[in-house]
Amino acid sequence: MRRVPKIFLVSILVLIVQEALFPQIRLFGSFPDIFPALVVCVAIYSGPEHGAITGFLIGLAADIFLTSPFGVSALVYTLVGYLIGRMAESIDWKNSWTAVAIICSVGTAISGVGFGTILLLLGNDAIAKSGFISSIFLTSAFNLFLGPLVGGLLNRPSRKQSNIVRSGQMVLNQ
Amino acid sequence: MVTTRRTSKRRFLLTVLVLSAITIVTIYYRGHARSLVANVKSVSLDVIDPVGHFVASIAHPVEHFVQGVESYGTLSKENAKLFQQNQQLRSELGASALNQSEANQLKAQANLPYLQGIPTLRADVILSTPSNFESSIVIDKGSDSGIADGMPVVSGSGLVGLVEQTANSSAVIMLITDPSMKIGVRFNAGKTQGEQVSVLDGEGYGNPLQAEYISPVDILKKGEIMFTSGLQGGLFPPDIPVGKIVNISNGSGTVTPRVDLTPEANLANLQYVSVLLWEPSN
Repeated sequence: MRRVPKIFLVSILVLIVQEALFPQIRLFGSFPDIFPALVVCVAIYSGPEHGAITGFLIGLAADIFLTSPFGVSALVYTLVGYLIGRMAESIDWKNSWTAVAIICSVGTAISGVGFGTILLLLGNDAIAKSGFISSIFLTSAFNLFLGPLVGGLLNRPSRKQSNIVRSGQMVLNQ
Repeated sequence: MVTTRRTSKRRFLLTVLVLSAITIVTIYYRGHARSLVANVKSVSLDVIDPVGHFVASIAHPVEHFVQGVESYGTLSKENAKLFQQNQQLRSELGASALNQSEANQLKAQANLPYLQGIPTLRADVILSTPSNFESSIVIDKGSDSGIADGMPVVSGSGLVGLVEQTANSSAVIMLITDPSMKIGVRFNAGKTQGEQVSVLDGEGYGNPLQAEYISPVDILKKGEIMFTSGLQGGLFPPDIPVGKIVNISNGSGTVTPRVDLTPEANLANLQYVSVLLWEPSN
């Protein structure tokens, strides 16, 4: 529960950066999509419940700006947040930046495939024309680098926690 | 016991969220409450509008920097070429003494001659699409300024797209390169063979538009421009330049040729657009 304000603030920051900044910076025809990385990081550091709820809300926020059916991103991110959160409970990914980077990248690829599959099932075959595979590959590659940054924001200890750790170390040194 | 209760609580939460998302998709897709969802989207766009303005002011210099880095080599060559052309034009201008009537004609050409008196509204582009699977932009004018869903959007050189979603002070524009976009066009005007019509398909950001239903006997040339057909019930008024033919090849496994076009409007660097205050007839 203590993590909720931090998740909220990081989500707002990610939302602003994604909506307004990243679309201006295209590399090889695609731009970074940091939403899946946020959902994956919340799932890793805060568990499947927070992962699913963040996925649902950030998905709805993303859908506001899309012309595709409302709710598709929310559905995909909810499932990704929950599944990654459940896996993170049995495997320790929290303490390795490499693991966080790889899981963010894989989570992004799963989100992209899920999004495309649902649109195809809804009869929107135009998605197959939009450089779908290359976009998924590139956004996954971007999140290999951006994922740990989002993870760092979420996992950064607060000043109070840092003071506790510091005083604990001082006691140990004495 | 505690673990079982926790697991069932989690499953309940997941079920509620998934069912909520599926319900929203179904309601939107079947059109029963599309207006309700559209209102939610509209309000959200109004909320994000000032934030979009602020971030766009930071983002544009970053965008220009990235574009500059990407095309540094070609820019240097182009700069040298333009300098040479500028010198030549200066000397020609001095010699020919361009008179006022010619200047007025040039001004009229620059004033979107293909609009045939349709009123327009200029708008600033504040955001680009946040998805790699769609091509859309957000502009800073909305229903308060008289913009409605379905209105065409143009730039100085040609068709940009159409209004997909309107909020009070902003609107989402689906670009002509969006994979779900289809545009009725005409070509071969003034040729003995007679005017032909076709449909252009958007193929995603950065990809050329593709022409459908081109007959093998149609004579096409690279560089030819296709214009909106303006047929009855069409989404766009007639005679707006859409794209220029850049490639004609034999379609694989079909007798119809594959025709690729680049949009006449520079969609990669849109700062301002004009919304045509024109709605389809039905």
